[in-house]
Amino acid sequence: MIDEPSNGPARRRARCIWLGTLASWRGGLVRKLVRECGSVSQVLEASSTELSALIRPPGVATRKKKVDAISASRRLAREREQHGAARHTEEARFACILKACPEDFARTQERLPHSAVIAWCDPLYPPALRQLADPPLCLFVRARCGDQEMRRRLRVLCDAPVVAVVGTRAPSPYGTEMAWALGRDLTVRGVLVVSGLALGIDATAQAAAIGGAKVAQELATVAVLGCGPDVVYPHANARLREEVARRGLLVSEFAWGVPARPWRFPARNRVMAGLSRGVVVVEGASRSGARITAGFALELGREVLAVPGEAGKRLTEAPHDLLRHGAAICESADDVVAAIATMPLGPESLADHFDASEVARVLKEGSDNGRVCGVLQALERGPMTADQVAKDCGVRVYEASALLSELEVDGLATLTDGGVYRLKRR
Amino acid sequence: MLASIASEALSGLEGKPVQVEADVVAAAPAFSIVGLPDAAVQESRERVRAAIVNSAYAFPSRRITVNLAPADLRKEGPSFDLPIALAFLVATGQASDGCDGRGPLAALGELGLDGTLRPVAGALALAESVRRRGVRGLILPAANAAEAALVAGLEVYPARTLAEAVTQLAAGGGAAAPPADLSALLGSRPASDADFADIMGQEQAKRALEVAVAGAHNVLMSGPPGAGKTMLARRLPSIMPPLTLDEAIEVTRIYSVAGLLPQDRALITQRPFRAPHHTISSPGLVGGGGTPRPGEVSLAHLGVLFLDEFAEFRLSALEGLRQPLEDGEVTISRRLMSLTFPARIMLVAAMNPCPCGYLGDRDRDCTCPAHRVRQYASRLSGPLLDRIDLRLEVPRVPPQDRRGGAHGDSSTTVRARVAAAREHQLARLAGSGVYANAHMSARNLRRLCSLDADATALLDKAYERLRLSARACDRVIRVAQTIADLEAAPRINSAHVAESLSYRIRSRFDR
Repeated sequence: MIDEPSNGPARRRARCIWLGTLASWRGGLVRKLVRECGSVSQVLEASSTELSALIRPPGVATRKKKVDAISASRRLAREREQHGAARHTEEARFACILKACPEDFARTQERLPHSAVIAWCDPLYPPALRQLADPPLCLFVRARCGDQEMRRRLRVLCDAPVVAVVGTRAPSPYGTEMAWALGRDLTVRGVLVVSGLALGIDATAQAAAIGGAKVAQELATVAVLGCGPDVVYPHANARLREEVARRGLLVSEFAWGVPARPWRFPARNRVMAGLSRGVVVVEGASRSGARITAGFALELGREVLAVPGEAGKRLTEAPHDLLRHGAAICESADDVVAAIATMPLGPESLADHFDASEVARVLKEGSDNGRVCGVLQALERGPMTADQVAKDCGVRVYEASALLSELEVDGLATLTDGGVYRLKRR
Repeated sequence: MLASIASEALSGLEGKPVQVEADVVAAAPAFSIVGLPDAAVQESRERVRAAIVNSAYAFPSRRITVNLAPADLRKEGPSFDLPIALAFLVATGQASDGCDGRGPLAALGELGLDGTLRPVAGALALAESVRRRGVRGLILPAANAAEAALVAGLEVYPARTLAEAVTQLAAGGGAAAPPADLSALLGSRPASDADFADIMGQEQAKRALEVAVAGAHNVLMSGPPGAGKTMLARRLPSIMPPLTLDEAIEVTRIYSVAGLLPQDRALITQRPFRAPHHTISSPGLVGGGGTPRPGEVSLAHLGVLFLDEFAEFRLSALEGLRQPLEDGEVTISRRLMSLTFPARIMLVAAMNPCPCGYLGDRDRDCTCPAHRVRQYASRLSGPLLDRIDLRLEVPRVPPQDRRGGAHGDSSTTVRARVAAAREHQLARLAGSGVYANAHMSARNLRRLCSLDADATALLDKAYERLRLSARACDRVIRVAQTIADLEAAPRINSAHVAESLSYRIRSRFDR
């Protein structure tokens, strides 16, 4: 490869994609390059000899750690071995790409259908991401739509007010409900909901965002992934992922085919925080990915909001800790909108899901209004099992069960784990 | 000299006629048994020799050949000791058989070395078979007499020792045991000490179990440890209709063959409740073994099979439950035979909602990662879950509900309601080939259940809003039909459908 004194735009772009792909196989590469060269543009201007001096050649760096007898259980040893094997294949891929000519390589990366690669120097690169100390050099994007449509969606991602809704993978019913309400209401108000498509809060918020988006809306939600955007992970969310690809965007700093690994998720959280104006933490334990995202957001000066929960529960540790340290409280989408001060809002006012007309209709249709009303009032005091409702309302338990089921079918109550019924929020 | 005594071999739950022939000739001394005997029958030679000598009979040095006819039927167990000994004694002229002209007697029993007779397994089934083949009477160990006396029209001659058996054989009977007073036996059922009123709280679960029993629906209970799932299940037999005489004999026959009949009770009068441990093997649960024996599903025939920690059972064992749940019987095929055991059970499964047990609990946090919860629930296969109509969550009872005296209706009250519902159900199902709502097929369902307009509308709405599958809808209708039967309502109305809808577990199993 002969180096020209100044790289033309096409060459800069190719190098972006090439380095970006390299970085997705070796974490921390961009950070190192930026530290050594000074800035991203200087990295792109650097000669290839300079670059190759900075990039540690591939080779499996298997530092054989002496493992002390106590921790050297078989399981640990096996895990370490698997870890080593994964590193080995990743280094092999890295070596393969390092040998390739950037221009040719970049061309191969852009050939996939329903996909796009957005380089750091492209106009469609989200400007908010440039504020990161080590921004992704390119974004790999997937969406089930044409090129025109893809460009329109990317433009929306650059311009729209973005909020990340993040939280635990194993939420409580309350957390799920809040994530659902936030995802839907934020979308209705014209806020673009971003999340990580993980199980639990992430998936709920994104599903709600898709549900809340108008059919004509260009971009319903954006999923930032911790693996290549063509990799299905987690499998349980495959259908939702497909839905996001249809109505929104799957975005990742990791190249095609990069598998999900634990160390990629904190990097993904950094991109999520970088893209957003605000981050809402719904539920999470003290050492959780949501907490990491909030940490990045604080570093970047983004708004951090936390949804309060029940005191003393494991899942409220992260949000309460954030609240203690000055995060804004988030009880509804209004709080988020106020915090990120995104005016103007979406045109229509929030369609109240649990509004007076719905209740009125149920009461009118129901054969015995008094009892339906009683059950609703009982549930308003808190989530209850059928037994408790029966006792509270003074009806037989089978009558209570029937009334609760009717409310559930009418969309006013919902059955959660443990046989507990709760009111559906708004 | 040649002699022959009638006896019976056990094959599954039935007796098969066997003729025990003994030939004693003056030749080199030997004692051989032919006719497909197994190890226990081969060993019978030693027991028979010792018993004869110790009962003060002579055991001459001759060539003795015992044949168990038919020769192609495999003979097992020690019940041929007595007929072999009797045939030998008759052949050597030390005893005479049935010279009073009323026909010979059959015999079976295990011999001790001192000549005492020990009880054998399956006496009821064997006695029934003796009766069927037209033999008028049966000599058998005294401990089996009460059981054999359940067979109407058979003379039962109990014997405590070999000598007594010889006397009875010679006299063509002598004192027959009195035929069993069946109604008295049935009436003498011990009062159950487990009553529904013992359970504090859990009103919804109690109601659900009442519905389940009324329609013979299988039940899955999910709840944290200590919620009372086992306690509820144990009380199920107390609200089931009492066994009829025929049913009691059916159950007794199975227990007798399995060797589980209590010494002091000739007839099982209470519905069985079987609760095998979750480490049970597949043959242990559905039956099997070299000579197939009834498994737990057959022992629970006409009663309750309670599987606690349902998700911890071996998958092969659980999948083996499909046939009994569908057909009410288990077929076990071996190279030489294929046996069918009855297994009409009500399956009551209990499990924790997740590996740690506290998912959805009020007071304790679940510590399971999300994927472990899904894995746990997905151990249960769809086809198996499809056979379980009622699923319910059994939360822990809050402390304030754990006080106070009486809690709801007693078992007697509930049983009366269940019986009424079953009658109503039978009248409606008459001529359809099924006798309980749980057994209605999807086609039957359309024909036999009528929903009123409100109920149909509610079901359609639920189908859409709660994303029910078509199968789930069928389950809802089946259970709603039972609820309607409990009220003796002619049609299913929306309240029935709504209640039925509440007997499901949120999403985890509705795939």
